[in-house]
Amino acid sequence: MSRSSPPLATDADTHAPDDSAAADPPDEVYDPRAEESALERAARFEADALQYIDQLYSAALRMTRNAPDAEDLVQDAYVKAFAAFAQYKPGTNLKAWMFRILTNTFINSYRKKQREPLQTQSDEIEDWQIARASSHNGGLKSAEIEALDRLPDSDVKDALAALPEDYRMVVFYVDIEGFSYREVSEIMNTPIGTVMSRLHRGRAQLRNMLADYAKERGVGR
Amino acid sequence: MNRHSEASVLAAHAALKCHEAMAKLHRYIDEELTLHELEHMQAHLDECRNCWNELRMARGLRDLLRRSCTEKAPDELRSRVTDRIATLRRELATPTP
Repeated sequence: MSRSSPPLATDADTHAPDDSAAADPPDEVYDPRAEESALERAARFEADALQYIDQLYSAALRMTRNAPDAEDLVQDAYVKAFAAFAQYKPGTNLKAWMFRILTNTFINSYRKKQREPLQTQSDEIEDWQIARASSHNGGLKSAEIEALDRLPDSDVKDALAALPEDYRMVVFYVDIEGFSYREVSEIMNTPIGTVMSRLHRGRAQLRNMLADYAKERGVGR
Repeated sequence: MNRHSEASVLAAHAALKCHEAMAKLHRYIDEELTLHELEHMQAHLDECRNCWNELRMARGLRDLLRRSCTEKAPDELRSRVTDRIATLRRELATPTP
C-alpha cells in the first residue's frame, strides 16, 4: 500500500472531470429538490468561480505561452470545473481547486501540443546557476536592484517563458499568485520538497537571465 | 563567569551564519518559516548587510514578476466563458427526456 498519497487525492474530478457531471439526474424519478440543488450549485459556481478568470488566464498564458491556446484552455477548464463542481467541498480553497483543474486540463489536453524539449536541465548547471545567483557578488549586484525596475515587462515575461515548465509554474504560483508551498504542492500534485527545489532553481535561473538582459540593455550600470 | 560564557556559547550557536540564512531566504520571503526560525533570521538580517541586500534583491525580483506578469483576461474570453456556463446552467434547468 502506498503511503505517499497525493494531498488532494479525493478530488477524482481533477483527473476525470468529464464523467463527474453524473450528479444531476439521480434516478428515473423526477425529483424537483435534486434539480433545484443542482441549479443552486450552478448559480454558486457562477457567483464564486468566475472571479478567478484573470488569474486563470494569466496561468494559462504561462503554461501554453500563446494567447489562443490559453483562451481555449481557460474555457475548457471552466467547463470541466462546472461539471465537477458537485465534488468541490464548500469552505475549502476554491481558487486552488480551480487552478488544479486548469493544471490537469493543460496536462491532459494541451501539453502534447507544446513543443518543449527542455523539461529539466542538468543538475550540475543548475547548481552552478544557483551559486551564481545567490552568492553575494554574483548575478545582479545589490547596487543593480533598481535596474530591474527599468526592464520592460516583455523582458520579464520572456525570461519566465524561457524557464522549464515545472520551474515556471512554481515561480508563477508562488511569486505572482502568492500561493503557499502547500497549496502549490496540491495544485501540481507534487511533494513540498519538490516545490521548494523547483522554486529555488527557477528563481535562480530567472535572476541570472534578467541580469544578462539588464547588461545587454545597458541598464544598471 | 561560567554563566556568562555559557550564555555567549548559546548565543553563538543560535546565531545564523550567512550560508544558513541564505538557505532560509526563500522560505523567509514566502512567509514559510516557523516562528523560531523567523526570529533567528530577523536577528541575522539586522546584523548582516550582505544578506539584507540579498533579501532586497529577492523581493525585488518577486515584485517585478508580479508587476510584469499579471494579465487581464480578454473581454471576449470573459463573455465566451460566461455564455458557456450560462448555457450549461440552462441545460440543467431543462430536464432532457
